Amino acid sequence: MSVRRQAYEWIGIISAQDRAEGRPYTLHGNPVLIPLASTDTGGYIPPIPIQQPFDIMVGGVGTNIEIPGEMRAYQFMVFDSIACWPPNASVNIRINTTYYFCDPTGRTGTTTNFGIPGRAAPFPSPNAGGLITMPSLYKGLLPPLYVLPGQAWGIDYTMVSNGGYDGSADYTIEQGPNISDGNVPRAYVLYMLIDGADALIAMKLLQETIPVTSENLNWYKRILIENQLWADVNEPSPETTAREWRFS
Amino acid sequence: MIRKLFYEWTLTGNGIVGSVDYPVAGQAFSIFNSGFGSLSLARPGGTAVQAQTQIGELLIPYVNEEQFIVIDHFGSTPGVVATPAFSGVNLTTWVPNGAVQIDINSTSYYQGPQNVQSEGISGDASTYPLTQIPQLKIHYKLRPSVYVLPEQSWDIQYTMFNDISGYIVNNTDGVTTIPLTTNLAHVFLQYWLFEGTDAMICHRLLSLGIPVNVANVEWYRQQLLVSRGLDTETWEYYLKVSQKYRELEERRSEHQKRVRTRGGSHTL
Repeated sequence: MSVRRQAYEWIGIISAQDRAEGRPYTLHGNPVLIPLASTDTGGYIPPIPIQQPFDIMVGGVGTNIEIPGEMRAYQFMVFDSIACWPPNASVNIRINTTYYFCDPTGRTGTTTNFGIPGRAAPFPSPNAGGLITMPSLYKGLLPPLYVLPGQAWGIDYTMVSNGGYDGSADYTIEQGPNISDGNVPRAYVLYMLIDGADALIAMKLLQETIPVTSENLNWYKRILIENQLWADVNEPSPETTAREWRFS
Repeated sequence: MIRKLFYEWTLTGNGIVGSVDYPVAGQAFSIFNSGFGSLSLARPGGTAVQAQTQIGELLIPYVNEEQFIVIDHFGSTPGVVATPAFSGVNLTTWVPNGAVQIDINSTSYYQGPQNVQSEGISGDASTYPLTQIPQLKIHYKLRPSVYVLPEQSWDIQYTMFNDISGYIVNNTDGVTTIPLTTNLAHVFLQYWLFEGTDAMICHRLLSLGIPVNVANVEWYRQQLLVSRGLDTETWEYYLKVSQKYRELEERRSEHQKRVRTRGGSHTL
């Protein structure tokens, strides 16, 4: 039973050992890099095909995990924000088989729409390109996006065009070991993970069309406690939880 | 008593490098008791204590019966690629590519999408020190805060993914020494320590479903003072407090012009 703010970060980089063993990805988090000189960082950026989306968790490029993201029966997730790098890359959120970002015709994954570009939502801040997050995305996704128990989710990363932040990088071929932070492909997703009894409350809020936030989860718990207190003193509650909230 | 406390951990150079002077890359270690870096802010000048043998006692942060801790914020050194810079045989610049994890008892706070423990939050997501202008986005804020209850132990684990020892041993730059003046990594932690009756109030707030923060603890204390002489051990009292908190919250919302975002939930 908890509400935790979680973040998942993907880095398009592998170690010299991964490279030697023929893997363009690394499992179990960040790779350990052993720099050999100021011009040899020990890290390599594997080739990334242009305009071909791949999953940042199990897509076979960069830092990967073993299984794709999937919500368990006792979990509930609220997406807060998403960002990527370089500016000419894009990220899109996928829940089961549906993408969040689409173009005005409703399509996604086309040459005109691969999701939210790094120009609009760069990660990290500050960054080599001096870009800042667009004000409309400063507070992330509004309204937030929910991932319900049992749903699979993923983040698709697309290198929309070549060149990187300064036009010097060629992502279609391997880069390294002399690389800099500004050239490293990145993706970042921030979310709130709710599990246990709190996930049940989150589902209850969802049914009542009340936004699932940590404040509203607390509020709902307070209402439950207050109702119990009213019951303990044998008086009816003047507030009837969610119905009252809507009209307050 | 309520205290807003800070803890800064710094890993600096230690002169000529030995094989056990620096943390093993890719392995998490405690910033409190691993023996690496500055042991405590209380040490004069933040003296670096590198070797494990120099520590007389391994201290594990533990919350006593009369305490309550709210971890509010942390940050660490940003960057991914090591980009070592040197002057002669001395290393002058290093990027650790580090991540911070919070442990409470034997449970880690951060987990990955496959529901196993992750390395935590990177320095790029939660940066320390802050060098950015206010318009830039801070990608990670610890909201809601983390509570550490009495009789729980807690720890901040830090993992560095760029191998400093490997670089010193294998580099072709001619670097053999990391001077004491070279900062290798920082971790910053901010938390509130509630003690005595304030810690008891924290428990009351927790049981009422009210967020534990300084403002709410002080408010609850005011309620107790207002009720002086009355019986505060009955359901009626807690009911009254609960109602008053609801009124307080409404006044705060009105004052700050914040209303809960309505409708607009989105599922796919």
